[in-house]
Amino acid sequence: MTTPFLSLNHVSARHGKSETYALRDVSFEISRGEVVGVLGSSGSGKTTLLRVIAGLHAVSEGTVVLNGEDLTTTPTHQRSVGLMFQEHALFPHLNVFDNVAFGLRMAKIPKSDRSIRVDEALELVGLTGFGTRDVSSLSGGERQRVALARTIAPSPSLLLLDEPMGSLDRVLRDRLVPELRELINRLDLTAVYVTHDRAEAFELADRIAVLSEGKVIQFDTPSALDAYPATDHVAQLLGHG
Amino acid sequence: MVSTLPLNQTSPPVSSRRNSWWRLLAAAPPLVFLAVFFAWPVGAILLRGLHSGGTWNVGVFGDVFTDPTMRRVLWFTAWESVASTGLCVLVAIPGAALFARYRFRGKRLLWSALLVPFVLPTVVVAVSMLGIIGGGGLTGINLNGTVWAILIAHVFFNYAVVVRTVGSTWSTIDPRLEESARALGAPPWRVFAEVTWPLIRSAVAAASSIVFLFSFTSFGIVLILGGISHRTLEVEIYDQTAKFLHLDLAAVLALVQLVVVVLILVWFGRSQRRRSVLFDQRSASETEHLAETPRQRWFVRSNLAFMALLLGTPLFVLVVRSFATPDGWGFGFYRSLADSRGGSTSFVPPIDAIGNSLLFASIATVIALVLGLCAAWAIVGDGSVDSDSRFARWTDTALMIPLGTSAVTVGFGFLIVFDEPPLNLRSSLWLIPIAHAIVALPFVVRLLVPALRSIDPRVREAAATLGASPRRVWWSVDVPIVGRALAAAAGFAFAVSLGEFGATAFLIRPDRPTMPIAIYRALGRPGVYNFGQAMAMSTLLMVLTVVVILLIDRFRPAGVSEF
Repeated sequence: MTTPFLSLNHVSARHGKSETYALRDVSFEISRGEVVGVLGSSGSGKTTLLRVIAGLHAVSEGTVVLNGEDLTTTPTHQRSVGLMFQEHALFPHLNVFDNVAFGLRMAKIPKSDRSIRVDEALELVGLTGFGTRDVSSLSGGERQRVALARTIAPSPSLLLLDEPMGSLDRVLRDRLVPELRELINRLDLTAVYVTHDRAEAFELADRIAVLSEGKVIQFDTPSALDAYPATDHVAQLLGHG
Repeated sequence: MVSTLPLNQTSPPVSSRRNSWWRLLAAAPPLVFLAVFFAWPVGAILLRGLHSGGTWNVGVFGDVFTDPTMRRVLWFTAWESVASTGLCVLVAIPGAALFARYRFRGKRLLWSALLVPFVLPTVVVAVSMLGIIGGGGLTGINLNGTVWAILIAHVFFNYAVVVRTVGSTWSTIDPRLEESARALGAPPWRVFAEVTWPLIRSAVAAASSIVFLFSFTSFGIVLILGGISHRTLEVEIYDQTAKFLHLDLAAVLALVQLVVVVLILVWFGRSQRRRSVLFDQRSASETEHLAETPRQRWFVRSNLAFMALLLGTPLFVLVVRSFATPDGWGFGFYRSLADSRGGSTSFVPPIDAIGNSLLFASIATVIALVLGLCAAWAIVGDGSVDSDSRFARWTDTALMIPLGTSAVTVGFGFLIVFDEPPLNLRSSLWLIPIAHAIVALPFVVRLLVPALRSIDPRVREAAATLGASPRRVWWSVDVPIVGRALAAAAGFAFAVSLGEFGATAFLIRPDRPTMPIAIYRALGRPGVYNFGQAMAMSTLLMVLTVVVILLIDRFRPAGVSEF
């Protein structure tokens, strides 16, 4: 077996200062180039899991290791992870170009290279020529694409997606999910994809971690999950009545 | 004063023509009042300053700007207000961050308590500063008569303006914007500089312009703490009028001040329109969180400690010193308030001032409320898109001008205009509550307008489709929402009137002093007992103001606060 790209070792995380845990003894490993779906109902801790990997939520026990480096106490901005939110969180005071260029600016990429890479990123998501547009003038689907372009432009080593389709309607989602899959494959990205939607997880993920009450109760390929759900709860989440 | 217009997407109402007539009618009383009791007196000052001996004379400005004394006053007023504003913003930004991002015990109460210094009469603020840094006070440091005493007092007084204005905008910013920036590689200071700052900048500008105006026209604080060397325009106008009877010079100075104030207001209005960034606003409950890391806990604790120190010390010292008589702890100073032998200038016992103040404040409150309500209705209309007309904006701006105009200018103007026919009110007691109402009106309008605007026209429409008649709609939708704002506005107007000093100083009759006047008189007399009297009277005035503010907060409409 190859060395894991991302590994979580017995990670626990509390809700703030309180004694209740959002994550309990979570351990798993992801190889380079793998897309892992995290499936769970709301309150299962799946968003906290992403925030822990991104460094936005403190770990109370355990370690997070990325590419052989222990990142447990590394601040977010030094982790080189790409994070995309459900509401997209586009910077309202910047236009599309400057939104996408933000991470490149932080990485001190020279100006000339920056504009080339922004254009590339916009082209990848199918928004060529949108650079000067105001973000408030974009449709839901366009916002989603800009957020994606912004996330991938600095070439993060790991892509973290928190319900990226959550605010889009069904029709748009059905069109964008295959596009996203194609993009992830083309760029050979490693990604963790949080969702509560079974279909999305199955379509995108190589493997799926099912989360419940802060614990990983099953971590396997979609077909294995389908065939042998570990508990009734997993079966329920997969829609097996 | 940052107001975010709700984007009501409704079609123009059917009755828009009738609506506009009705709005003109509603706008009439406040505008007429403003014309008679504000524009006319101020116009008279203008005339007095520029028009002497039957000719227009602009040369007087040259005289003022070349006179070394006047130049010193102008220069001091300008840099003192810039310094006060800068210092206040610097000190208050962490406080705004605290309220915007953290959840902690007593948050709501502290949010209200912040308002206490702001509504505290400036005379009381100055007296409490004397208690701390006036030599022989708490710290033993004597900063009395230095610019530091003035700057500290201004920060104390205006802290809430910045924290509350900036904090409430900041709390609507989605924290995920900042988190996205962090994930994109921005270290904390760049997150602030590149994401947070651009979004709070217009709120900071709004707060700064208010702080600047208050510091620029600061009167009571500078009069008491500035000594003889530090004088603002406002103090100079008062002295030239009341002490030296140089009415013409005073008029020119008032005019200079007015020009600056109007320029600032215009600049501010323009920059607000140009710079504000519209963004999806989150409710505060979504954006606040408990302090989790040790660093966050340290931030919350040190912030709270600083606020306790800044806001608590002056009030605490005031109370303590009011009881610390030369004969030990006791009510000696309070008892002496009932004596009429205090000094030659006051032949009435200081305690009478309490009754005077309450009477004036009641009348002023009624006037300000009635006019403010008319004005607010005229400005808002029925809340639909087309009611944000040019007329509404002009009315709005016109009503804000008194906020920036110094109280001293108002008092001085009254003095010039109302001592001769057709309106000879010089000795009338009405002038004082009217002047107070002029000062309070902008606050009342600022509180009522957002409350009226917060009523989504769709709520009215929904009520109508459910079978409510127009009157029922008004009674069951408008009244409950506006009623609360009205109560808050009443409290504000009352507090403003209680503490008003600048205009009152011109208009007061010796036998009918208000509480701030009584305090100022006591300070002006030598001796421990007179200083103690000032402390005792200040404590009473503070308690009265705090009670009013606590009442306001009970009635404050949730989620609507521009001050």
